[in-house]
Amino acid sequence: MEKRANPNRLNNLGILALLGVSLLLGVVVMATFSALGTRHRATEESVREDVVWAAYQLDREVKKLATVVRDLKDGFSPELRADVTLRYDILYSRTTVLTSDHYRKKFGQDPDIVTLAREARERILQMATLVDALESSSPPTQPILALLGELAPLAQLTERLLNITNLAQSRIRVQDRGELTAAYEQLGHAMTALIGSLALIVVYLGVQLYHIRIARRRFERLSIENAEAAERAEAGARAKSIFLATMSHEIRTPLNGIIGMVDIMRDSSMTPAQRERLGVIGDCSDTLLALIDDILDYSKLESGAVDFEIKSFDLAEVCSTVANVMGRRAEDKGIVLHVQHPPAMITTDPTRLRQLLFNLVGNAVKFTDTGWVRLVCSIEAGNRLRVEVEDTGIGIPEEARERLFQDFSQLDVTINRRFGGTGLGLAICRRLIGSLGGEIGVSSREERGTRFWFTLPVGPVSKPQPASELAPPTVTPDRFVGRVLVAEDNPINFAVASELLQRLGLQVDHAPDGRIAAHLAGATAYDLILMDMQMPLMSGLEATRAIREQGLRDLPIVGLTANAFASDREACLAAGMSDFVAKPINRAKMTGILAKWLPEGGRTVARAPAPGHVDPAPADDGQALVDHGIRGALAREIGTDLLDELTRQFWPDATRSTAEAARAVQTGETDVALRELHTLKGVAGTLGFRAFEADARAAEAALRSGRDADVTALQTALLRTMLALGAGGPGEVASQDSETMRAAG
Amino acid sequence: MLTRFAFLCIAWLGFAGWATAAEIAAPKGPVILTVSGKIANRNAPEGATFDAAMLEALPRRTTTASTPWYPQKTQFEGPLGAALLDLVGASGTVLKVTALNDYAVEIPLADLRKWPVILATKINGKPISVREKGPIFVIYPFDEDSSLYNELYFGRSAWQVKTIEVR
Repeated sequence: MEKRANPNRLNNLGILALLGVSLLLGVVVMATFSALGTRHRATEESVREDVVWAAYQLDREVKKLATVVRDLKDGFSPELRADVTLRYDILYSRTTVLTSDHYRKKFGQDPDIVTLAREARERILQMATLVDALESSSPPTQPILALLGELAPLAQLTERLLNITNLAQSRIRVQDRGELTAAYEQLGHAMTALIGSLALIVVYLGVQLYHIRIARRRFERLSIENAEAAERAEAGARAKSIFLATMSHEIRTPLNGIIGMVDIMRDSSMTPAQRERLGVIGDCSDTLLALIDDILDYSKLESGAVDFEIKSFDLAEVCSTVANVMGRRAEDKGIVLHVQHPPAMITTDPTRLRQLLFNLVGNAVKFTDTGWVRLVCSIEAGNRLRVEVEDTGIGIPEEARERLFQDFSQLDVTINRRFGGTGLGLAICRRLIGSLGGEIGVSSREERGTRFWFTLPVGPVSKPQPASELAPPTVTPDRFVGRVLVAEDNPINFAVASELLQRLGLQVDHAPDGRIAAHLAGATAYDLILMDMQMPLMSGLEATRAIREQGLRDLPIVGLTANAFASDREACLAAGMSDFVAKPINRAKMTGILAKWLPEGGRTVARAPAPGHVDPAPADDGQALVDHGIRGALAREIGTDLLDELTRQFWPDATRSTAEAARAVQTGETDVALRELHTLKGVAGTLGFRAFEADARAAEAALRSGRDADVTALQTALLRTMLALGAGGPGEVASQDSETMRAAG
Repeated sequence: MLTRFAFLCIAWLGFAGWATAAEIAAPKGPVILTVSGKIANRNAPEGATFDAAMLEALPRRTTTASTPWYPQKTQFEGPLGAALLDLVGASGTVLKVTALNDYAVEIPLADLRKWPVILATKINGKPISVREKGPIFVIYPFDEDSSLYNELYFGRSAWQVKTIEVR
């Protein structure tokens, strides 16, 4: 580096030196010009009166005077005498030139000229008395002779003066010319040197420019390389994001299967040990799903690909959801969850707000073993929602608080092991709140609890309409009628969906890909289509478009996908789907879809009976499970005890028969199946199990007409009847249940 | 008869008066300047002749300037060349000015119209003799126009002027 700096410094010094030299040369040139100008002026002055000319005039006037004086000597006349006087006067006027300043200045150094000039002048002045004498004497022979005697040496003198002056003038001229030439030469040298130094400056500047250009080119190359590196890094990050998104999607699909199956299995009879293990599986699956959701959320937030759906909604709705879900979790841990919120309609993204509350309240519950968790929402000035989540948990050490909202940071490994989690929760919260224009913060005392708070702009804020407060709670039907097409390539997902639908009383058809789905939709009158987004041959979106193009504009098509993002929702709706549901599908979601989209006639409302309690369902319910009128009559006829005994005996028999019928349907032993179904139909009718009887009759009729019998519905009806009458779930039923399910898959 | 004579006398006198204004009177003293050539008014066979008094009577000017011929600033006084030209009715373009020593120089007539060039007869208030470069010295207004201060106009500034020929 030092070595490279030196040439630059030398270069700069060189430039400075050259500039100095140029300046100096400039001064020299100026001085030379000035000197030339002075010389020129001096020359001008010297030529004002040409001294040689003056000397010549003097000489000539002397000769002229001599001529007229000789004429006067030859023959006197007054005119000639006047002429002599005039000539003398003219000569006299010339003498002043000889002693003038200019003359002396010029020839001052030449003693000969000065001496001669002075002598000539004196002689001329002395002649004045002789000229005056011409006037007084006549004929003035004497003065004329004297004049001639004077004029002869004067003529010689002036002639010599003329010659010397001429020589001196020539000498001076030569000298002047020499000096002038020297000055011009000096000027020429200075100019040459100046031009040379300017040329050197130009060369130096050129060199500098060359260096600058090279440096610039190096910088350009460097910046291009940097940009390329950045692009590569970005491409890597993008690839990672895509990989994360893909992987989480791929993981969610089998996870949906697990969660769905667990959900179904919860309904079946199990030993307490089995139930506990199933509970663990369910919790693990839920946790896993939450983790994957976190990762997916985080990767989306990081790549900035998050869409927010800002709308006006009731704060109470979100809070009550959190209170319900988290309240149960808190209750399980033996702590209390308090939720306070003002009545307000606020404007932000409700899904994201729910996510934030779940995250913070979930954390609070997770890290609190005794005491309480409090969620307090308030509306601050400037239409900002302030949320505080306070707990009496383990607290956060002071030094850890800064790292709290950083990505991938859990406070320590111990906590990580003890409580699990990706450590992304708070980072996601921070990013979400940042994106929504809010702030998040925390205050805590170790071992004394923690208080998280955040604020969000939620304007405009309004009071919720009283009507919605007074609206009666919606009743979700739990039994439906209709035919549903499930387009789903994954067998497990299909099995779950199919099982749930069948349990809700619906007939289910399966389309393993989009093309078959479109074909089936055109051939059969379905009440609803559940459409997976990603399928081989034809995607759900394409299939939906195809179905809509067939003219089935009013047929409800609900999209199912593991990608729960607004962009997916928009794609679904754009393709012509009626709605969109994120997987995993559970019973609650399924009933929600069905209640929303099945035609009015396809729903029946029957409140789910609380376990251990007989539902006091009205006897006139057309689809009632149990005809209490018949059973009442029977009880009166055969006695309550016998009826109960018969009923108790019915469960294992019916269970076995139903399983046998199912097996026979599966293996194609139609006659066995018909026999079993017939028996079941008869017994069920006798005992007043109307739904079961109807299902058995329908299955029988189907078998007789060569169609597929819906044995699943029969099994469902049996289970429901058993539950309705408070019969305990025998283990046998559960095992049969799973068998039938496999058959349905 | 008497009245007729008187009338004639008056007429003659009037005519004579008019004629005097148009013509140049004869010089009473020694002639110091003769103007010849293309002129309308003459008072002698060779042209218009002037004595010192006649020149003195013409419109005049005083020029005070440094000149090559005197070491200090000098006051030159004399009639305007243009007035002289008007008096003689000059119609040429060039004046050939000849000095006593037969030195001759040509001056464009336009110079006299352009600048107030004088025929100086007095230096520092005194008449100038031949010994002092008199009697007439052509002086350009060096005090008025610095562009005149060079050899060309120094050369045209003839002294000891004897005759002017209008060409």
